[in-house]
This record gives sequence, structure tokens and C-alpha cells, in this order.
Amino acid sequence: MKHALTIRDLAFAYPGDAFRLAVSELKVAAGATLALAGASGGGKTTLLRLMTGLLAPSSGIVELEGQNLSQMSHEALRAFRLRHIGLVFQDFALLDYLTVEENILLPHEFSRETLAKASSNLPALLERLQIAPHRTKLVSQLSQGERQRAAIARALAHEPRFLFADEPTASLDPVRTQVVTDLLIEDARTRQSTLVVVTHDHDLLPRFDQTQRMDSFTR
Amino acid sequence: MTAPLFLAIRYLRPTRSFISVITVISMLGVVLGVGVLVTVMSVFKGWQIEFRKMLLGFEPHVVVMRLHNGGETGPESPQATGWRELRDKLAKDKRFLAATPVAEGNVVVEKEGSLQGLPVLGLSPDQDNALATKLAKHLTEGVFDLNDDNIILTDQQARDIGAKRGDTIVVHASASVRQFIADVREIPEDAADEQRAEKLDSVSILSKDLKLVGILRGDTAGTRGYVPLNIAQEFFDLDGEVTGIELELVDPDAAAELMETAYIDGTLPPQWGWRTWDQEHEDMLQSVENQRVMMYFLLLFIMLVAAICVMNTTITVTVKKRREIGILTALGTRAWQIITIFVAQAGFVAVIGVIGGILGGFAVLSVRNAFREWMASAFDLDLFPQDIYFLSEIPAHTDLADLSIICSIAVFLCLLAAVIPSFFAARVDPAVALRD
Amino acid sequence: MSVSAVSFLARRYLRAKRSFVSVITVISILGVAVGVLMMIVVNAVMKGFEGEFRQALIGYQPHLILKPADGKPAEPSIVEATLAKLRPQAGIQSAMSYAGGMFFVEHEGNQSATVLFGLPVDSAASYMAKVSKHRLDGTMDLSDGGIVTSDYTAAEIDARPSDSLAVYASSSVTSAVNRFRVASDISDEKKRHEAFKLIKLRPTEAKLLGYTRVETAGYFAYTTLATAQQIFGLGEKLTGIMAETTNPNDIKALKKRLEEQNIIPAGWKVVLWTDEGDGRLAAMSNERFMMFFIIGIIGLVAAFAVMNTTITVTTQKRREIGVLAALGARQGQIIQIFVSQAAVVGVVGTLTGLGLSALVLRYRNDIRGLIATLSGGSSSDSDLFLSTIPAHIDPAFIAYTACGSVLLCLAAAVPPAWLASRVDPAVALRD
Repeated sequence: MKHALTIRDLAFAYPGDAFRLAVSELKVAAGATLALAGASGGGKTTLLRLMTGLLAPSSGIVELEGQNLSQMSHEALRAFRLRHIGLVFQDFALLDYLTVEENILLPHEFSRETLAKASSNLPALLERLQIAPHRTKLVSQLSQGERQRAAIARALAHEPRFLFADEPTASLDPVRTQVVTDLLIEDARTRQSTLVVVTHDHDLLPRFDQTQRMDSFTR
Repeated sequence: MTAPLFLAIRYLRPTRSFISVITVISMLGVVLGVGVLVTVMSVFKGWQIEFRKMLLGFEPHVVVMRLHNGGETGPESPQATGWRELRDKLAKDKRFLAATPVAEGNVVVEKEGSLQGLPVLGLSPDQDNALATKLAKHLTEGVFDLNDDNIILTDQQARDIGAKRGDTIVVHASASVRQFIADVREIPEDAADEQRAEKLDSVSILSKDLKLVGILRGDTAGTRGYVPLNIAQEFFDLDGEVTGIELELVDPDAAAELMETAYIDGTLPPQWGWRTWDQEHEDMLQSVENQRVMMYFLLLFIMLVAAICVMNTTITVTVKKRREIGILTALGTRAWQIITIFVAQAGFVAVIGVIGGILGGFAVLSVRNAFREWMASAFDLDLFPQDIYFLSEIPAHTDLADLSIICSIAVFLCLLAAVIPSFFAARVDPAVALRD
Repeated sequence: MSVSAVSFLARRYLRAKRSFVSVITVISILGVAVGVLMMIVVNAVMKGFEGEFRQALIGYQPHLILKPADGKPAEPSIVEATLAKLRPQAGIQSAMSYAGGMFFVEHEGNQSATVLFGLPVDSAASYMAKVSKHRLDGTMDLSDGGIVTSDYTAAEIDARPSDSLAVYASSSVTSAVNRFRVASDISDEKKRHEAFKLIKLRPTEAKLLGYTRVETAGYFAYTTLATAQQIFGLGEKLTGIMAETTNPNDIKALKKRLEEQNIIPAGWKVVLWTDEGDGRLAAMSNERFMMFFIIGIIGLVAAFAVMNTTITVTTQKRREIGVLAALGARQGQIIQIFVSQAAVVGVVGTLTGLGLSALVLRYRNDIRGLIATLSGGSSSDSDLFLSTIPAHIDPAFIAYTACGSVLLCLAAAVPPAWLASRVDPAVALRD
């Protein structure tokens, strides 16, 4: 079975930065879940970006569904991201002046193919994340926790084959943290999509199929 | 320089590249505004000056003439000053370069089978006739010789009556033509031919054959023709009198004041009045000045929009630096000091913009005639047709006063545009600013 | 390309909370409005002056005159033939024969000279309808032995309607004067008297019917054809043909057509109403072109303000651009967002400018009074007889200006928007 996410001999460094990232091998199967653990500033976000093609490695290969990201055109990569990847950013990256619903549907407004699916998934998703009452509220009016869940909803709406989440539970209380983590993992298992979560919460690690400690990758 | 102010300037100095870009663009706006103003107003002023010069080139600076009051101070009264006396007195007066007698009026010439009025000025052919000397400069053909039965016309007038230099033109006195018509009309309809003929014996028309000896350039020498003084006196039935004495001045621009002074100090007798060259052409001169003022007003709108651009830039800068302003205020910098810094920034933009605009304006002015030629050859479009503007080149005169006004307005508008947002920015509560 | 997402975002940007973006956007709108305002008002007023001048000329000049080039009287047969060909021509409203020329009029010792047009009785009414608009006193109905003059002429000869005038053809006076001069030089009395007998200067008695306002109707005088033929001693002959056209502004094209179709008799010339004013009209049109260029610079500077606003906004939204790109928006879509924002500025600014121009043009004379007081001079041209500022609203020009200003705003926004969209999402997100 081909792995959904494959990394081989990856090396990365920001120009002028002493920090180095090196991953000799990392494989995640479809329907599997991976946790990237480690302290803040350890390069987790960087690795996530490398996995989604937002950053290009200095050397090595990143493959999603067998496709080498470095060899994909800018346009193909963009289209792939839009259709098949869901992103949860560390700082949510929501647009404050749009409502929750508008934020969730926004990326799909740009291409329309996935819009129908996202629209129909929206109500149930909001329910599951317990932010249904805030559907038409401006994001600026929401608490940190509510925003985090809205960001997660945006990532899930179009049923992507990959979900990359950067500290998706950092702003949630312990109860909701459990709920959301379970939701993400269950969603991956049910749809056979691949989940990669960056977290510094050690209590969550056992739930994932694979765990990688960032200090094994950094130098 | 106080510590807070020093810190302020360091803090607020633009470091990010994007602020520089918008600053440069707003500078460009000021450059355009000032540049266009300098260019257009210089051309206008130049034209205004050329126009005045052109008028001075043929118009008597001042014409002094008898006022027709009658009564005690009438021309017949013993106290009345004769024109010869006055002329001698004025000629000796150091303030006047020359004083010459003139006789103005209309004569009648034939044009395409009709009789038409022709304005002429009678001049004496004296050697020291300053008016004649200056008119002679406009001769395109022939000589300015009024010694015999000669006449000098403008090219337009000559064209109108179909005459060429050397031709003999029949000139009639208008009053005499009128009289002739009236006399002929009086002869009864039923009078016998012989009776009529006898009646006509007692009628006369004052006419003369004048030789066209010189042609003046119409667009710079006005619309008058010139004849010898004695002929004009005869034609206008002046009986030795003249219609006025023309004076040439050292400083024609001060004509009105000079004449006022001359009147007050008694140089000019009370029965005599005067008209100056600019009074004569007041309408045209006023029209040109009006157009210049309107143009000024319109062009100021460019400066207004440039100031709007500067205001936007200032707003952006003050918002970006909000936090720093809060810190400074908390440290003790006073509001007016903060305002001064941003206003100074805008002033800097304004000054650079003004300098750029002046340089740009001068650059455009220096190539204005080349540009005009290019437009004519490339697009067959004459921007400055000579038949309308009487000049062969686009004039330009940058008046220092105008320039100062333009620069002051530009800088003032920019500073004003910066003061308003700076004022609001400086009033921000430091606690609020620091929180964001 | 999803238009709705783009416009939706653009609109949302502009309504952002408490943002200084709204302030600088509003100020840019002001800049655009000023540019549009100036362009429309200046053009309208200049075209207005031009139009007034043209209208004035059209109002009193005969639109088209055909007459023998050598100035000799025209044969009635040629005139009739030409009229027959001329009348059915497209663009010709009316055509008639006329007799006329320079003439002297005298009343109680006062004299004046002007140009007389003698119109055939059947066509006179329609032509005089054009002249009657400028009537000051008396009647404009032409009758044999009556003339209509301008108030200038009437004043010069100190005459009122129904006063009796003596009228001479100018050429008659000239030839009489010339003959007299030659004759009076003959010393031999008998020969002289023989020569004198040839001098005829009979005035025609005419009644002043009424007079027109010279400022709008010019100096012309009018009478019937028969009277004019008598005054000028033409007998049955005529001076030429006068025609009025349906579209006076097209007169040059009409002339061309008439020439091409050989309607103009050999040896005849054509005089158009434009001939007199051509120089001045050309100057006015020239000046309008120059002003257009200069005012365009206001638009340019306003575009600078828009460009600055776009630069500021894209810089503020740098991170958001990164997010959108990461989520899958195309570069073109990102550019569109900011360009449509500028489009909103352009459209609102243009509409504001249009509204302001409507106001300014409506109250232009009050404004003119204000400017006059402020600048200490009178701002109406002294050689125009109008005391109000004319304005000609040209819908086509307004449409061009409106489109142009919006396009300029868009163009101004494109370079900074394009530069902003090129940002690498990873770099943008990093900040």
C-alpha cells in the first residue's frame, strides 16, 4: 500500500538561520494519524509547512499521494492544496471581519468545485464543534476557543484527504481538547484521510497511530 | 534638542520600505502640481508681458487732449493754453521723452465699390517724433515717411482695400462726404439738368490722393493708418488745432501715476485731460488678466489633490507609528512636539516636491517651442497659432513673485494636510496605544 | 475566477472596523471626485462659451450665401436654376434669392452704413422668424419701402420706428463721389456741367419698421427684395442666393456636397456662417484641448492617491494575503481583490464628482460672483455680451470622463496589487 505522506532525506534551513531540520524518513499511511511533538520553537510549524508544499526543502523529497511536491508546478500545488488539504494554522488565520460561515466557505468561493460539498457539510460540522450558535457572528466577536474551533471547521469542511493542524487545541479547555482531538482522529479514520497534528500536549500523544518527537529531527 | 524630541525623531524615522514608496509617490504629486503651475503660469505671464509690449510698440504712451468744457475755461478764453505752448513745455519736461502733436479721426476710403471708414492718426514728420520712430520698427515694406502726401497703412487695411505699396489711394474727409450727400439730396428732384449742374458747382468734397509709401505689420502695429499732420488737420476741420499731444515716457507702466502728478503740480493745465495707453486698451488687458487669474485658480486644484495624497501618507505613517507615539507620550513628549515631527516630514516631502516641480517646470519650459514644433509635424496640430496669438514662439516669463506664491501655497497646503491627522494621532491615549 | 468571492472580500475590506483604511479610502475618493469635477465643469463651461459663440453667429449670420465671385449682379435665370437644384438638397431648410449689399442710411443729418439684405416676400417671413428673436422695438414684418435695422444703426441716425429714412446704395455714393471728383477737376464749365449731369444720387425713401439688438443680431438690416433691387439699381437682377440649413454645424460638409454635385454656378463663390468666426472658434477649440490635458493631471495625481492607498492596504493585509494563498486562492484572484477595492473608490469617487459637477454647474453664476469678489476682478470675459456663464453638458464627454477615471483608478491599483500577490505565502505567514 502506498503511503499517503512520504518524506525522504529531507533537509531544511532558513537562510541565515543556524536552525537545521533533517528528516531521513517519515511515512504516514492513508487513514493514519501522526502527532508531531516537542517544545515551542522546535520547528514543528516549519515541518508542517514543508509537508504542505508551502515551503520547499533545501534537499530531499516530500511526497503526497506519491507526487513529489517539488516537481509540481506552482499552480498544480495550489490546486492540490485547495482540494485535498485542510490547514489549521497556529494563530487560526481567520479573517476577523468575516463571519464564521463566511470564513469557512471562503476558500471554496475561490474555486467553486468544492463549494457544494463544503456548504452541505457546514451545519453538521458547526454542531459537532459546538459553535453552531456563532454561525453568523463576526470572528472578531468570538473568544479564542471559539475561533480555534471555527478554524478547524474551515479545514474540515471540504472533506480533504489531508489535514494538517498546528496546535489545534492550544486555546481549548481540557474537555473540549479531548472532544476536538477525538473528532479529528475519528474523521481521519472514517474518511481514510491522513491527519498530521502538531501539539505540545503530551496527554494527547497516545491517541495517535504515530508520534514523532521534533528533537529527533532538529540539530 | 531635548531627550524626548531626540528619541521621537529616532523612533519615528521611516525605516520600512513601504513608507518610503508612498512618500515618494506623494512627492510626485507635489512635483506635478507645482510643475504644471510653474509652466502654465509662466507661459501666461510671458504672453501678458508680450501683449503689453506689443501695445506699447505702436500705441502712444499718453495722449493729452483738450477737455470740452466751454465757458470760462473754454478754448477761446484767454486763459486757455494753446497746444503749441503746452507741447513746448512738455517737451522740455524731463519726465517726458518726447511730445508730439497728433490729430486722430476717421477718413473715408473706397473698398470694393463701397465707402468705408478708416481710422488714421495725423503725425508731423519731425525728426524727433518718437512715435514715428517706434512705429517705423513695424514696417514690412517701404518707409515711414510722412513728408508729402503720403499714407501708411497696416497690411490688413491695405489688403482690405486692395492696395499695394506705391499705389495712390483716394482719401475723403468723412464730414465732407456726409455734406456732399446732404447737399446733393437738397437739389430738388424736378430741377432741370442745367440747374443741377450749377448747384453741383457750389458743392465740394475734400479728398486727397495719397501715396501708400509704407506698410506696417498688422498684428503688432494695431489697426490705425498714419497720415501727415497737416492733412489730418485739414480733413478733420481742425483749423490749425490738433486733437491731442502724444507723449512718450521713460516708464510707460507708470503712465497713470505720472499724469496724475503732472496734473497736480500744474504741468498740465486744467483744461487738458489725458488718456494712457492701457486705458485705451483696457478691455483686452483686463480680459488677459482675468484669464490668468482663472487659470491660477483652476490649477490650484492640482495642488489640492496633491495635498490630499500627502494627507493620506501622513495618516498611514501616524497609524503605523501609533505604538511609538504612545511610548513617547508616556515618556513625556508633548503633543505639539509629536505633531511637529510629522508635519516636518510632510514639509520635507513638500520642499523636495516643490524643488522637483520647479526644476520640472523649467525643463518643460525650455523645450516648449521644440514640443510645439513636434506636435505640429506629428499631429498637424498647432498649439499656439500665430494668427491668434501674434507671436511666433510660445512666450514664457517666470515671475519671481508668482513663483514664491506657488511654492508657498504648495508647502502650506502640504503642511495643513499633515497637521490634521498628526493632531489626532498625538491626542491618542498612551494606554490605548500601548495596548494594541 | 469567482467574481463574488473577490467582490465580497473587497466590500468587506472597506467596511472593516475602526480601520484607518476606511479613512484613507474616503480621502482617495475625495481626490477622484475633485478630478472628475474639474474635468466636467471646465469642459462644460468652455464648450458653453464655444457653443454660445457659434449660436450667436448662427443666430444672425445667413447660414449659406451663394453669389458671383466678382461681385456683379446675378442673372435671375441662373438664380432660379440654382434654387431649383438647391432646395431639394438634404440639409437645406430654405433657400431664397436676395438682393443686398453695403448701404447708407440717413436721418435728419445723421448717417450710418451697414449691410442690407432684401428678401423675397414669400420667403421673408420664415427667415425673419430667425431675426425676430432679437427684436427690440417695432415690427419685423417686411414690407416694401420699409427696413429693419439694428439698434446700433437706429441710434446712430437717431431714428425711431415709423421714422422716414433716406437710403442709398453704398456703391451709388462711391460712384457719385468719384464722378464728382473727376468732374470738378474739369476747368471748362460746359464740359464740367456735362459731367455733372451724369451724377445721380437719388436716395430711396424708406420707413424704419423696427430694430434688433445688435449684440445678438449683428449689424444687418433687412428689407423686401423689391425695395433692395430699387436701392441698388438692380432692376430685375439679384445679388445671389441665401439659404438656411437644418444642421448649421454641418455646414462645411454641406458645402462639399454642393460642390461635388455642381450645384454652384460657375464663377460663383460660397460664403458660410463659419467664415467669420473660424479663427476664433479654432482658438477656443485649441484652448479646450490644452485645458483637457492640464486637468487630466489632476486625475493623475488622484490616481497617485489611489495607488498609495492600495500600497498601504496590501502592506497591512500582507499576512492575510499569505493565508488566502495558502488556502488556495490564485494570484489573479488576489490581485482582483485589491483592484476591485480601487474600483469601488473609483466608482464612488466618480459618482461623487458627477454629483458635485451637477451642483457646481447649477450654481455656477453664484460661484462666479463669489470668485469675482475674492479675486477683485470680474471673471467674465469682457468682450462677451453675456453676463452669465454658459455651460454645455455633453453626455458623451461625461461618460468618457467617468469611465476614464474608473479605469485610471484600476490601473493605479494594479502594480501594487500585483507586487503584493507575488508574495510567497510561507514568507507572508511567517510574519
